This record gives sequence, C-alpha cells and structure tokens, in this order.
Amino acid sequence: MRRTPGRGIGPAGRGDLRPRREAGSRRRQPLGMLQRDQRNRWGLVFLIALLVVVVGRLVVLQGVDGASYAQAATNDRMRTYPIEAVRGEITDHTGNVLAYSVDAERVTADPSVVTDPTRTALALTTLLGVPVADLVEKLSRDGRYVVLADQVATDVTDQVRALPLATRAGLAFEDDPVRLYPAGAVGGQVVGFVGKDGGGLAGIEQTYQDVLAGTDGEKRVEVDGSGNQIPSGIDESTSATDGGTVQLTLDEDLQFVVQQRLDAACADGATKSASAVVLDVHTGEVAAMAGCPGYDPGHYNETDPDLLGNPVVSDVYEPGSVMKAVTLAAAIDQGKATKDTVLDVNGHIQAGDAVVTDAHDHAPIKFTVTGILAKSSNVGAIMLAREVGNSTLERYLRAFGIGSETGIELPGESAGILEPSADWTESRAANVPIGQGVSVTTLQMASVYQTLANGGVRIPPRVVSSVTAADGTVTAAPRPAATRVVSADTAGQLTYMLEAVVGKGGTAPLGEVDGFRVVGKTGTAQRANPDCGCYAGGGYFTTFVGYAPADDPQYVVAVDLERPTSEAEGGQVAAPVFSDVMRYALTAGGVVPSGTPRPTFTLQVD
Amino acid sequence: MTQPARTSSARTARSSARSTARTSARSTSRATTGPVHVPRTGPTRRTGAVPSGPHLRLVPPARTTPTRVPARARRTGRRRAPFVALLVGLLVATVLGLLLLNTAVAVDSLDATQQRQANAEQAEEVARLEQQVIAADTAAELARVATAAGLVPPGAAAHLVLQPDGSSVLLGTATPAPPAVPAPATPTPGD
Repeated sequence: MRRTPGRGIGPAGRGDLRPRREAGSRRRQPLGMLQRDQRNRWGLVFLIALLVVVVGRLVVLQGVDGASYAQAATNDRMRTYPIEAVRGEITDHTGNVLAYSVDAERVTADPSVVTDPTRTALALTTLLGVPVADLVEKLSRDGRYVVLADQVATDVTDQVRALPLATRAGLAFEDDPVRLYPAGAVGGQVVGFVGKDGGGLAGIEQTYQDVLAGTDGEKRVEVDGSGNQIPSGIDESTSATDGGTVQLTLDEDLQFVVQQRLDAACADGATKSASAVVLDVHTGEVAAMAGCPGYDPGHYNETDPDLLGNPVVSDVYEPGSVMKAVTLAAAIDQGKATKDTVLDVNGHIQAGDAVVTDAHDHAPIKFTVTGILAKSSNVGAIMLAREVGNSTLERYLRAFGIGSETGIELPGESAGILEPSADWTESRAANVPIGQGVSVTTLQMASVYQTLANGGVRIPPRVVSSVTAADGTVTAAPRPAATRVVSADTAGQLTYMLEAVVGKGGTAPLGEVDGFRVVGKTGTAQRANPDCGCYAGGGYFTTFVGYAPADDPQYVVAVDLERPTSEAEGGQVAAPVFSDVMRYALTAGGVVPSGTPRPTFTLQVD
Repeated sequence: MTQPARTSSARTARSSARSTARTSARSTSRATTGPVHVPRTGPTRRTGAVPSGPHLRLVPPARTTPTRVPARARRTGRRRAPFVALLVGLLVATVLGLLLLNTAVAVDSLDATQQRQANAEQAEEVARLEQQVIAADTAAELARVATAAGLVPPGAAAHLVLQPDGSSVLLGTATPAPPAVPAPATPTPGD
C-alpha cells in the first residue's frame, strides 16, 4: 500500500505529494452487486477448473498410470544382475572328474567408446591370444557391441582390468563359463560335450542336461545414483541353484587302458574303427566304454562331425559267431541238447536257395555241442536252431536284448535290427543263428554275455551311478529290473562250453589271460561293402566277447573291430585286444584266480 | 500475580469442597450403615448430592498490574528451560546416533564389499588350484609323468594261490617289466 515516490510524482504530475485519490476510492463508481457476483462466479469457476485439472492429473498419475510410473521408478533404482548356475560335474565311479566348469569371461567391447583401437588391440593381443589385425578391425567397427574373445580365464581378465583406464575404455566382461574335460578323449564319447549355448549336445552332457544345468538366479537390488548397492535397501535376489554332479559307473583308469589299447588297434593300418565295452557281471554297470577313433570333448568343434557319436551304442554290425551262444543257449534251455550231445555235422547245409558252409568245408564230423561252439561250426549251430524253431529262437534273441535298446543313459542308442521270425526266409532263418542278417551294437552283445555270466539273469547295462544335487542329496540312478532269460543250469553249461573256445583246441587261444580261466567267443562276420551293397570285398567285422574268471565271472568284455581290408578272423585280431583289456580289468579289480583247473573238453567223438 | 492466585484459590476452594463432600459422604454413610470398612470408594462419587455451592465463589482480582505478562513469561521460561534443553539434547543425540549408525552401516558395507571381493578372489584362486590338481590327476597325465620318470607298465602278474592242504599253486607266469624306454613320453590319446 505504500506508494513509491516515483509513482507518487508521475501520475500526479504536479509535484505535490498529495494522494492522487482518496484511499478506497479507486473506483469512482462501486461495482454493482450483479457485477461483483458475476466476477466471483467466474473466479470460482476458474479456481474449480484449476482444481479439477490438478485433481484429474493426479488421478491419472496415481490411479490410471500409477502402476507404470511406480514400475519405472522401481526400474530406475533397481539393478538386476544374472547369477549363472554352475554346471555340475561328471565324475567316474571313484570321483575322478571327467567334466567340470570353471569361471571364465567373455571380453566384449563397445567400439564407439574405444578411443584408440590400435593401442587397445596391442595391449590385448597377447592377453587374449587374438591377432592384432582382428582386434583392430573389431574395435573400429560401427556398432556398440563386438565380442573380442570367448571363455577367457579369470586371471587373464583380471590383467585386462588392470590395464590403464584409457586403454581399457569401452571393454566389458560377461560371464562365460568354460567346460573342461581333463581326461580328454578318455571317456569322451560317454561324457559328450556342451555347445556354445551351454546345452549338452552329446553323451551324458545331453541326457543329463536338466540335472547338470541347474537353475540360473538373479541378483535384484536397490542401487544409489552411482549404481552402488544400498545397504539395507530392497533385495529381491533369487539365488542360483547349481547343477548336480553325475557320477558314472566308469573307471577312469580302465577307460584309459581300453582307449589306449583301441587306439593301438586302430593304428594297425587295417582297422577302420573299433569299439569296446567292459561290464560288471553282477550289476550290469559299464566299467569302461570306448571307441576309436575317439574325440576330445574339449575340442569337439575341431573334430569331424561324423566321429562325434558313441559307436558302442549307436553303430550296429552283424555279430557273426558270437551270436551262436544265444542259439545254443536256446537249444539247451529248451532241452533240445546238452553240452555233451553229439551231432553229426556236415561241412555244409542247404538253407533255402543258399548253401551255408563252415569256415572250411569238411566231411561229416561227430561234434559235441561243445565242439560246435569251440570250433564255431555254422552247420552245427543251424542244425540246433532248426531243432529250436524260428519263433522260439526269436523269443530268446529278444529276451537277451537283441533288437531293442538297452535303455542305457546315452543318446543316439540304436536298437539294432532283428526282423520278426514270421518274415524270415529260409536263408535268413539259417543266417540269424550264426549272427548274420541280424545287427547288434557292441553293448547289446556285451549284455548277452553278461546274462550268461550272471547265471542267466540279464541286467540291462547302465552307465550312471548316482546324481548328487547341489544341496548334497544323493539320488542313486534307477536300476532296471533283472530278468531271467535262461536257467542257471543252461548258463553254466554255456560258460563251460565257451571256455573251450579260449585256449587249446578253440578258435581263440590269443584270448587267454595268463593265470585266469577265461570264457569267450570269437566272431567274424562279413561286412557289407558300402560300394556295392554286397558282401564281396567288404572285409570283416571281427569281434570277441567273453568274461572271466570262468568259475566266478566278474567282468564281461566285448571288443569289435571293423576291418574293411583284412581277412583276419576275430580270434587273431580281436582276441588280443580282449585279452589285454581283461587282464587289466582283473588285475586292477583285485580279482584273484581260484586255482581250479581248466576242465578237459570233448569236442568231437570218433 | 492475580491469575495464579485466583487459580490457587479456586483450587483450594474446589479441594476443600471435595474434602467436605467426602467427609459429608463419609459421615452420611457412617450414619446410615455403621461399618466403616468402605470409606474411600465409589459411594462418595455416586452420592452426587454434594453441597458444594456455598464453597464456590468468585474471587475478585486482587491486583491488576501491567507487569503480569512478563512475570508470567519469566516464570514459565524458567520452567521450560530444562525441557527445551532436553529436547535439544534429544535432537542432538538423535542426529549423532543416526550419524553414528549411518557411518557404521557405511563402514560395514564397505567392509562387506571388500570381503566379498577378497572372497571372490580366493574362490578364483581355489578354482585355479583345483584345476591344476584335476589336470594332473587324470590317468593320461599320470601315465605321461610316470613314463617321464622312467616308470614302465608292469608285465603280467602271476598269482600264488594257497590250496586247502597248505601247498601253493603258481598261476600264470610273472613277466618282468620291460626296460624303460628313454623315449619321450607316450602320446596320450586324444592329443
């Protein structure tokens, strides 16, 4: 209300300080009631309108958009960091690690932040092991994200972090755990490998992906303006659940010996591929399983993709004479013969439109059934199979596991090929009993002999022993039910007869293990020539399957060599591999011979 | 001066009225019932008919002086001083406490961060060492080192088996191990 001098002088204009008008007489004429009322009303309307706008906006902010704003605010002050679950280990049955994960990081860069690509590249090239030119090119790209190196060890990334700020500007690190296979190719085909995205692509890594992978967690915390976590702030972290440890039934040492022996076999010039499996007789557990050429899962991407399988479970071949054990077991179990039954065996036999001969045609010989097996007489086996009958033989074959998957915990298992007996032609009916015209895997064949070694009770082979979860709970792997295939007496007679094969007078003296009584059977099956689809010039699959000691079997070993260019028989090439593997298995397994003498066998009567 | 005086006199009047009422109630109850064991409880208030009228009267202001307000302020000021001091003290204590707690939390947080980092570093170190142990413990590596140290794979073992009659039977032939080959380590499979 106080008037400034200037204002006082200005309007008055006459220099006197007299008020220009009487206080309270601004309006010459006071407003009329109506006018005042109207103004008040407009003012009120204006104020209410303002209020409505403000309240309306408030309602919109709080009520309608409230959730999204609250969300935006939360997002602004919450930071989420992934916590990667550590992939579980794969160990052998003694706990030796076959596969495990270690922390590593992926080094990435934001080229738009990198000040001097050349200097950064020079600093990184020795640390990351990437050529300078590659680094410079990546660091000079247009873009905001380039991967400089994958799976860099943490001690290396620590060194990168220690570089001067100007040099490492724009570099970033991401978790990128690396999967290590310390044993390399030993057990590699069983263990399998993990792809770039962390998913198992072969072997146990694939079948046990869910167990091994674990569950990723995330750290979700409230942070301050500079990104530091606020103590006692909101913490909505979910911890990661690490993957479980899968323990296999394999024995790393035995696996190493088997792999070494197979590699030696593969290096003989005539063997294209080989596979072997060692089973525990009483449990059906796989003690070793290997093939050559094998591969190192740590370098799977440098391996021929055709070799990235497991030939023991996925490659099928015609087993040949080793199948005669099934034929004879069926005949004895059906009461058609005993080990001492004498048959007059000719050198050849008519089977439909074909003639099947023994390895060497001969005049009729009075073979005992033991002799038929020991000398691997095709004719004798076919004669016994005819006694049994096709459908019964098929029933026995299937009971022994031929033609169906064993259910082992490995991917890509083949069931083999066994046609229904109703579809057998005359020649097929003569071929199946001697192991031609039927395809099996090495594992199936080992399982057949495990049945005989185990008193006629078949336990399907398994390779996983137990799973240990991250919290320490151990779950034993489920075991399939054991099934009786033949009587204990039949199995005993087969063991007796198969012992005649190994040693003097049999087809596989090289399969002997000094000091032990060994039981086994050779097989030499024609290999189909992939060039012509016929047997001519295809070479042979030579096999040897057996178990020891004869009076208390502990291990079954099955060996299979694919020899496209060789005429050698199973007793000459597969038996020595069997012998070496079996010797190690028995010695390392602490098996002591009982000292019982090897029986004398009557193979033929005059 | 007057105001407190008035108040005090009013209070005295009221209290005297109450005491009178009490006494009168007591006397009445004593008069009617005789026993004196419940003298100070309910009945006094319930009676209601307290002859308080004559005891309440308006006390005229004794003096009206212009100094009454400062006097009052001085007096209440004197009474408020400890209260204000208490409040200020509490405030200061709260601020200091908060500061202390905050500092403690910050220090602990820093400590936790450092320890977490140290822990992570040590975990990395452990992982690195474990990696070395695992790598050196594989069958292939053991075989390589053993060969490098001049060891050779054993020959076939023979077994001496005791018979029930006390004699022993030699099973198998003990083969002496082949002499060490001074060649480089056997190639490990897969390499």
